[in-house]
Parts: sequence; C-alpha cells; structure tokens
Amino acid sequence: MARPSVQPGAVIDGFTIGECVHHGGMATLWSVSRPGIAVPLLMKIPRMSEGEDPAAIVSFEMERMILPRLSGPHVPRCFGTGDFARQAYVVMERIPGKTLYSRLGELPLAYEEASAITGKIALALADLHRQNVVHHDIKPSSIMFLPGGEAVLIDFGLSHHNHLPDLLQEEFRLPYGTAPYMAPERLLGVRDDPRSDLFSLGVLLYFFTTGERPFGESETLRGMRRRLWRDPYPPRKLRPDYPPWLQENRVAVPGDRAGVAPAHGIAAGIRACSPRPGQTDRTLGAAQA
Amino acid sequence: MRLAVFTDIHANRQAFSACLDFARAQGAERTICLGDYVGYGADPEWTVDVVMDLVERGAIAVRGNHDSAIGTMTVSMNAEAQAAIEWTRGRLGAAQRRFLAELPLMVQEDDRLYVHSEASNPQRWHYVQTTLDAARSIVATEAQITFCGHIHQPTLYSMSAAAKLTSFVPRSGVGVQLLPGRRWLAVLGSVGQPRDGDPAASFAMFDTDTREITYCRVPYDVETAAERIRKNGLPFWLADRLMVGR
Repeated sequence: MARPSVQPGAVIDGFTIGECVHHGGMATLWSVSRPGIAVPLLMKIPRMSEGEDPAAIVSFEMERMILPRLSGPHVPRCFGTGDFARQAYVVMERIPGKTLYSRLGELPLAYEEASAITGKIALALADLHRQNVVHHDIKPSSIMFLPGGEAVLIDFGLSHHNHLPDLLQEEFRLPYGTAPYMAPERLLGVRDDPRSDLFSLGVLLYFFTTGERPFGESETLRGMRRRLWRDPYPPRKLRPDYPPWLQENRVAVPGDRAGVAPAHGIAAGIRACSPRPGQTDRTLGAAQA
Repeated sequence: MRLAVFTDIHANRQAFSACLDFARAQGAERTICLGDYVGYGADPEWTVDVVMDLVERGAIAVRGNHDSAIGTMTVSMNAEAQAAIEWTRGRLGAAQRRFLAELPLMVQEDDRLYVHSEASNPQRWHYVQTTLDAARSIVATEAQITFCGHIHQPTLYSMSAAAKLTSFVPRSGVGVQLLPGRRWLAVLGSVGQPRDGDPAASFAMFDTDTREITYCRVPYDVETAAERIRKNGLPFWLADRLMVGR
C-alpha cells in the first residue's frame, strides 16, 4: 500500500491534515481534524528518514503503546494511532496554551507561585504513577496547564509502563532523556522507579525558584554522573531569603531523596506547607511542630 | 480472529479443562497447541484425546519433547520425568501414540510460527532463557511472531529493526500489542506445570486483527491434579511442585 504523503489537505485514516505546528528532533506535529470529534487535535508523526536517530522510532513505539491506555485530566486524550506499515502517527487532543518552557525568561519565580506550580505537577504525576507509568522526561517543555489550572503532562516517548515491554530499556547503551533533569538511577539503567519523575520535579522547582539548574547543563555522561555522588548547593546558598518551608520540603533539593514521599504525598505536602496569607515562617513552624 | 494458545499441558486434566473453559469465555475461535501434552501428569489418555479432537476440528498442534519421548528412548530427561514417561507410555493406546509421533515440530501460518522449544533447531529442544537464545530463534525464521513454550516461564521477547533485543515478563490479563515494526518471540507459560512461582495455569490469547497478545492465568483444582499424581504412583515431587508452581 502506498504511503500517504503528509501535507496540508491530505487525509489519513479520516484525519484531515492542517498546518504543521512543530518540527522537533524526534517528530513533527500537525493540527488535524476529523468529523465527529469536536476537540482540537494534533497528529504526531515520528521522523523516520534515513540517517535519523533510531530513538525516534523506538520512542514513537512507546508513546503509541502507552498514550491510548492513559486517561484523566492530566494527559492528552488519544484519538487514534497508525503503524509503520502505512503511516506511523498518534492523534491526540491539542492542549491550548504554551508549555511551562515559556516561563523560563521570568525565572526565578516567586516562591509561592513556584511551589503552587510544583504542587500541580505533583498531582499530575500522582495520577500518572497510579496508572503504572513513569514519564521519564519531566521538564518545562513537557508540562502544560488547562484553563482550570490542572497540569497536563505531554510527550510519553521516553516513558515506562510497568505492564508493557520497555523497548527503550535494552535498546540504547546511554540513557535517553533531558540531561539536567535526569535522575541518578537513570544513569545506572533503572527505568521502573516513579521517584525518577520526582527527582526531575525537584530539579524543576530548584530551577524555577533560583534560576539555576542544580546539576548544571552538562550533557556528557561524566558530567551527568556527578549527581550520583554530589548534592547540589542548598537553594538558600543561592537565595539567602529562601524560605525554610520550601527548602525543607525534600523535593526542593533533588539529591536528597531519602524517605521521599510518593507524588501524591508531595502534592499534599506542598499544599500543607505553603504559607497562607498573613502566616509567617515562625507561625508555620509552630503549626508543624 | 482470536486464538487460544496452549503449551506444556503435561496431562493435567484439571488445568487444561479450566483453561479451555476460560478461553471459550474469552471468545477463542481457534486453538493452537504447542506440545508436551503428556508427561508429569496423571491424565495422559484424556489429554491426548482432547487434543486429537481439537485437531480434527481445525486446531494446530506441534510436538514437544515429552511427546517425542513416548515413541523413542533417546530423549534425555531427569529421573522423575523419565518415570512419568514410562508410566504414560503404558497408558496410551496405539492411535494416541501414533498421533503424537506424527505431529510436526513446527507449523507456520501467515506471519506466525508455532514451535515447542525454539525455531533455530527445534529437534534439539533448547530452552529460551536469555535474549541471546531468543535472538537465535528469531533470526532463524521469516515469521514476525513465533510462539513457543518448553521452559514453563512466560516471557515476551522482541527484536527491533536494528537487531536490538528486549525481554519482558508479561502481566496476566494485560494485552500487549505486538508492534509490526519488530519481530517477537512469545514464550508461553505452562498449562499443566507452571514454574514461575504462580500455581495458576498459564496460556495466552492472541487477536490476529489487533495483534494483541494477552497472557492469562487460570486458577484450577490443583489439589485434585496433585492427588491423582500420587494415587497413580508417580513421583510425589511431581504433585508437590504443582502446589507451589515451581
């Protein structure tokens, strides 16, 4: 069967192709529509030309397996998939707005806002982990927010599903992911621990409150391995006014994960620790004692 | 079409009955049997009769090492297995022995291959224990999916277009789509003598349209199966191991 060409106006399995909205390293994103589906849609098509990174194919296979199994407000709904025999694609709900990446120019954020964002992401992660999935690429560009404020996680190409074969586990010698956010156990080949996402969330909170990435931006294996044995500076070293209620929350210092709570516990913890209007650190400390 | 794939039934009537009922309830339209119908268990006549009847009605059946051992003395086995084979040989009629002896070692249907042990050298009865073993079997065939048994421990292997192997211990009741971009070796668990620590009988359903495989676990009357082994004078260990799935 002839491979359909992907261009505006073409129809693939009933989906009419609109404009190309993103050209990424692993995939291209097209707006699509289909009669009977009212929500805006995106079609994700993996880059498969000769010379492309083979990870693009494997990560597409993972996303194609995992996304249709996910549900709830914290993931985009999946409306269809196609395989390599004709045209590989995943059609998903198009979440309105921009990713959290668009806020990078504003860093550091106010502590209360950064902790509120972290709490929302933790809730989304709790829902994802409950569905047996570890995201493995938590970073600002993988996170969006609905008009109601709920965090939505996107991009499941590096994810691990506890009930499905992990095609990335043995495919590549080096861990795939985004270096500054990658949990130390990922460097040791561990892909089934949900705490890896919480480590990335800790990196994100640290970055959003200090403007610095706790483990730098090195993408070399040697540079990334430093996080196996070295903790980052405590956030208060970078910002002397860093509030104790935030620094003492374990998610704020990604290297310190002894006894780290699951995602839902972190979400609840951040809500409980965030000061209410008029509350000072002293009164908060008394309340927690 | 929904296929029910059974392997290593090992004359366990209670387990096979439970699996057949379960598969029917799941809408199975075709049966595939991957060998080792006899040996270890106490109901070889009933089991072989059921498989013969299934084959008459369109099922595919291949031969396992225990089935081969009924007609030949050259298959090497441990003492308990050998004792069970000698006991079984006396129980089966000529037609049943001929049926087992004439079964093929492998059958290919569309892009699927059915074999008892593995596809590279099926008459040698190698176990698939590692990704290297799986690779050897996968590259020996043109099939996209090979179904086998023999090791009594369910594992799902895949080989990518770049010849990278993955292995995965499937979870009962969760369908996994065997993606068309890679080649797969589905090693099934045993119906009649599970050895992965779960005493429940094991088999798999495969949907040829959605290409989804679902490994199934079916609790059955282990007590009766074990009691029949003891009553028939077979080694007690063969009964005991059913209770623990080892």
